[in-house]
Amino acid sequence: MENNQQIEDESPPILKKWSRLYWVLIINLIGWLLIFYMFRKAFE
Amino acid sequence: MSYIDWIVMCGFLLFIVTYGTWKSRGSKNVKEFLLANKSTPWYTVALSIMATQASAITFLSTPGQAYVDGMRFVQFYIGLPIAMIVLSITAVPLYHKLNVFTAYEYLETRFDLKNRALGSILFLIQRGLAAGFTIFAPALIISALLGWSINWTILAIGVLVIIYTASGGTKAVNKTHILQMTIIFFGMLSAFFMIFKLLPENIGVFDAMSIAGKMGKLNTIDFSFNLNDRYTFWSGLIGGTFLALSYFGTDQSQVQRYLSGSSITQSRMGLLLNGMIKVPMQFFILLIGASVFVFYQFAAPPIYFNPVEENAIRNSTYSAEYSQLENDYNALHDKKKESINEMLHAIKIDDQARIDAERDKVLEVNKEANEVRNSAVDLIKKNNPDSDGNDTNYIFLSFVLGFLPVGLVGLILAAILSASMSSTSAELNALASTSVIDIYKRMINQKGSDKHYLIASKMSTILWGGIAIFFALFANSLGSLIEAVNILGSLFYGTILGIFLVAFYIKKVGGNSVFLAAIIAEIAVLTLFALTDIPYLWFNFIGCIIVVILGIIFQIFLFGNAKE
Repeated sequence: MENNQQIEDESPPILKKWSRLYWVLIINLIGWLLIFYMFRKAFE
Repeated sequence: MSYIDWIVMCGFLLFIVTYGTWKSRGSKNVKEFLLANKSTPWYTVALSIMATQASAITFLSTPGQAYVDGMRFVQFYIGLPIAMIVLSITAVPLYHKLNVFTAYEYLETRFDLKNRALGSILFLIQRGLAAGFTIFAPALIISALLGWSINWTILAIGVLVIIYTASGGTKAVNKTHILQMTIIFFGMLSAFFMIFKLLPENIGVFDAMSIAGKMGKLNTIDFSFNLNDRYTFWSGLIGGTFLALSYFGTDQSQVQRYLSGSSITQSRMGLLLNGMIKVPMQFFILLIGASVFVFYQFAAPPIYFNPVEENAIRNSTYSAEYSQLENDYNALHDKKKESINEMLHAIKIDDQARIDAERDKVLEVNKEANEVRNSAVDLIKKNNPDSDGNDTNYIFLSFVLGFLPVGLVGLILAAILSASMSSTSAELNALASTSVIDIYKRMINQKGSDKHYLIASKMSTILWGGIAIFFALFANSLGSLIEAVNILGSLFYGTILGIFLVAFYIKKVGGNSVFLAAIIAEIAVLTLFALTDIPYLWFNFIGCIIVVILGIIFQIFLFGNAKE
């Protein structure tokens, strides 16, 4: 339990760490999915 | 292969090995050998992560898969950027703050020794076998290309990697990764542009893509939810995320890359850059395969791409039968080429009815050609019962050797070998870390000096290199290599990820509960793999979920609030 407590204290607060870079990565992924979809449809 | 290709290939490879060994000479302690003194900048972390994942298998098998099955394999990577974000938020700061050498060291801090032992042993089994495949893949190329004995080729490549990895450790691995990725990018781009240059003059990029699309090779995205379909958007998003989380978050060969980052920010940046580049990179490699497919709609492809098997059947009693099938196949190719030209003409004048009619004709001829090809494959298997009848891995190689100009062949071979060496070196480096830090130092000999563990790390690298070479010698009977490695990974990754997820997020679950849950999950996954046809990507999810749910249940009903 002591170990658990130690890790808990050191764990990063999730969701508070969302920086702009994370959003850039998500938008990049959505962009590629859109490209894949259009790529498939354009040449189908 | 011309002597110029030899010079290009050997020149690049020797330069990389010499550079890596020279720049990393004189490791004085274990931290320097296993973590490069935690001084690696973000761009090296990113390139090193990518080089570790991109093995020669990526180069050989992926274009072949696009040729045979279309580009739908790209969906396998959809979950990767999501996993990079999750790991940047959770695992990276935790590993850095605890100052661990390996991911499994954290499991003891969080749970207990038996969970650390379980995690590291599952890793050693899985990665020890996978390292064998990573050496085997390029050995296959060289042996098919030059007629060398595959066993001697495996030995030569394996020994070369062992030399610089055992000599310089993580620093040598990281330094060589930068050069290896540069050659890989350059080789890929050159191959891509050459394919379009080799197409008939009247075929532009748009025409080539139209042909690939009409013949079902650009199937990059598929939203249908079908458990029996291996690559869909959903299997990529769910299974792919879990596999990437597990691979990058709990596989020491990757964890060691970003543990060597000089700070949390540098490690995070490295992971995120990998998430940014990986999806387009895989798309591009698959596009090379789809483009090779288009190329072979105009140039007659061999009926079977493995030259070794082809030579064997030509010198057998089935030779006449095989030649007849080849003639039929070539005749069908000519017929198909006519229909493709008609279809292209219809596309140019935008006559939809004619496009559909010509496409149906092409697909019909293609079906006939596939039947002829299947007969040839049956004949090959009859001639050599050990053959698996799968030539996917030879398609890209066959194209490179047959059609690319002198010099470029050497460059692409150097890229393929670089890819193999880059992932093998990272694997040996990680296997050595886990064996020495988690097993030897923790469980066998805790009183050695730093120098003692440094020597043990070097010896362990050599030992794992030997084991990888041993398994590589038995890998020949497996089918499409990239799938073999991924299947192997999925059987263990889910359980390992489950242990880590509980460790990260479910604070109330203790060591005994998660250990028992992990054992049951692994038995369940192996049983399901043996008895059902569930696509392998789902095992990451299944194994992980079983560990998490059973871990919670055991904690509540079996171990209660007992202090563990």
